Amino acid sequence: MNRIRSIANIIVGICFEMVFAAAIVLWGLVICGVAFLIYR
Amino acid sequence: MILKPQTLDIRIILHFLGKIILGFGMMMVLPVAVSVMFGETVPVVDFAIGLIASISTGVLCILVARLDKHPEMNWMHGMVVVSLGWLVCMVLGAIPLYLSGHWKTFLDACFESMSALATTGLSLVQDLDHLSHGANFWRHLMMFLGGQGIVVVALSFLVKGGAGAFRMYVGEGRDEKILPNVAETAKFIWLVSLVYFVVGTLLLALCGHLSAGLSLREAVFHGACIFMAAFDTGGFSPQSQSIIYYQDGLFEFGTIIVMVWGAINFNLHYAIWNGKRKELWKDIEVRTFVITLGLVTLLAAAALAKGHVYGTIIGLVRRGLYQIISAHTTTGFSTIYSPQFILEWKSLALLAIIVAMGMGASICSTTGGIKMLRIGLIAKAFREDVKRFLMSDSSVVSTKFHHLKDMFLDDKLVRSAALMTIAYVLVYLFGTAAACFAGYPLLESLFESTSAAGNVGLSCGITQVGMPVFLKVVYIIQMWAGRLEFVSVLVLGGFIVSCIRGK
Amino acid sequence: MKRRLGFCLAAVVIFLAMGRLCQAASSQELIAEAKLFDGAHVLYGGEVIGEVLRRGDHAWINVYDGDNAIGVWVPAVLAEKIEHAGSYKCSGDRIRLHGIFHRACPEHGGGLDIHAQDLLVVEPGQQIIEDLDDRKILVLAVLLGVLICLLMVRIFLKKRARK
Repeated sequence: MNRIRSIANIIVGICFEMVFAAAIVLWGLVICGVAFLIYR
Repeated sequence: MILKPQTLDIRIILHFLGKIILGFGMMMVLPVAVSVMFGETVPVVDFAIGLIASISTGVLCILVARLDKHPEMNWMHGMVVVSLGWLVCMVLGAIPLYLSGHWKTFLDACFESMSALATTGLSLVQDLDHLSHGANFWRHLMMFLGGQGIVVVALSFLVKGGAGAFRMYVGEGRDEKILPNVAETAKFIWLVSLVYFVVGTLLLALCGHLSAGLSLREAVFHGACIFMAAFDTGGFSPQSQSIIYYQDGLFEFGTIIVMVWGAINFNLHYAIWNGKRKELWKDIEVRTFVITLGLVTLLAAAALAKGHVYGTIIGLVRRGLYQIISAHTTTGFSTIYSPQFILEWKSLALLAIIVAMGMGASICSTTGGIKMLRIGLIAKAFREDVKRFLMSDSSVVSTKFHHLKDMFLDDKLVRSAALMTIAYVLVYLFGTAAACFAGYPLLESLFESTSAAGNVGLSCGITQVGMPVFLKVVYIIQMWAGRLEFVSVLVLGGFIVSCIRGK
Repeated sequence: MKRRLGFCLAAVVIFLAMGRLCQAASSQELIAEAKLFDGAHVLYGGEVIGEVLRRGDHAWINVYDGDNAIGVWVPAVLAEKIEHAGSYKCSGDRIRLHGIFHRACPEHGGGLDIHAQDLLVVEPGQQIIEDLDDRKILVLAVLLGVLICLLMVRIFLKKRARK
């Protein structure tokens, strides 16, 4: 049971880090968007 | 008085050096397997030569320095083993590359090999598009080994954990253990890397096959290579055009995901894998990364948008933001051609990308540069000092920060962070001076030097086969010293001096 | 040789027949003078490397002219002409093409590319036969001998230590 839980934790962890990386892109996208709109 | 190292010191160093070489050399079996899989014959012979040369060197070192008992390794031994080990592995790793005929001189192959091991990504390869799959895989595998640490490789298989092993581990630019035992730590680092290898290769292979249009076999090969280069924030790529080759936004997005994974501290991976997901936004390193990334992106995006360098927002993101993330995570993948940095990017954008390269990402990850923890600590120290001036004399100001656990900011921590930052800046300037001496303009020199010493790998065009030989050597030293965070390199220098002048 | 000459002649005739004002450019010139060439018709040539990356009714090919490889966006019909793409085992088709050059292509996320309008295979690619240098075999044999000697010494020393 413990093993299943730890594997599940790892899978959730990987997905979580993937979302974090996507959020980083989004964060950059927002900044680029603002800069682009200002100087359009 | 400087003491001359004794025979026992040299025997201990040679013994462990031999083990590291053995661990590293054995890895050459993998490119042999890849060559066989792709039906390539000549590379098999090249790698067989490299493999046997490495194993022979390793066995010879162990034979010459036979140790009857297991003596304790001190700090000097650990540091010298690591810095020497990296140099020897550079030479051995360069053998099969040189034999492939795609590197003009053996120094160029050594440059490539050090660039790979130090996860830099600057390359002197010629006609990369016709390089065998085996040699190409080896370039990327060296990044994977160097990123995790070649000592970590040896620790996982050949060296028993202990205080001596910990000293080698620290010498390799890592000062945080994840688990109480250093051998367990090494194994955990490999576990994380291999799990991500499977997930990341699958992700990139799917992007490559379904979106970019690669054939399935090539998609898997490119996926594995690009994963190793991205997760270890290295920046090599199997084709000469870097990421431009794939001509695909989704594939670029996939590489960003892997680069960000690589920029995360292994301790943080450990915490997240154990369900402590809140650590991700509590940690000072991640917070600093998000803030500095925001700032450099703002500078670069403003400069690029104001200069109308890219006419669309998608262009600004795929060519501007991509380069910034690649630089900040010290990867070095590129979606524009090297000369375009100087020819098209505005000065402010170049400044932003140089700052991003210089700062790097997490401690105990595979990134290079000054690193976020140090930047964060220095920023906190500044804030604390300003606070002190604003508050009454009698009040006590203390600052807390969260890095794996809550900690108080003390002067010792700030001192070491500031020293290391100064050391990096000096090395960046040293490389800049060397390139200026060779006749390159200041901005280009600063860009390339920061890229080499910060283990980034973005190039503005200086790194070419025809560059002066002394500059190649300077960059090799910068990559080596930057990856090992100077201390072990300085100890090696001290060791050589004590061998010559000691009594 | 005759065939190759024929191809070259055909290439010249076709491109002259187009009667357009195309400027021949190398990849270095295109990158260095990107602003000058932006939006212009260019003649570009080189070896197709990697793979033909198909995208619906179009495809990407990367064409290497000795200095850099540049991405070329070609209609799928034209991409059909390419049979070999350069790799370790194969030299790619050498092609000449003309098309519109973009410094930062608005259609393709700001990339530097050429949208090909016509393409001609000047010289078809062929298999590269691997050439194994005998000296490598010799070095390998010597190294293997050294390794075996070293291992034997190691075993001998271990046995003596046990005694």
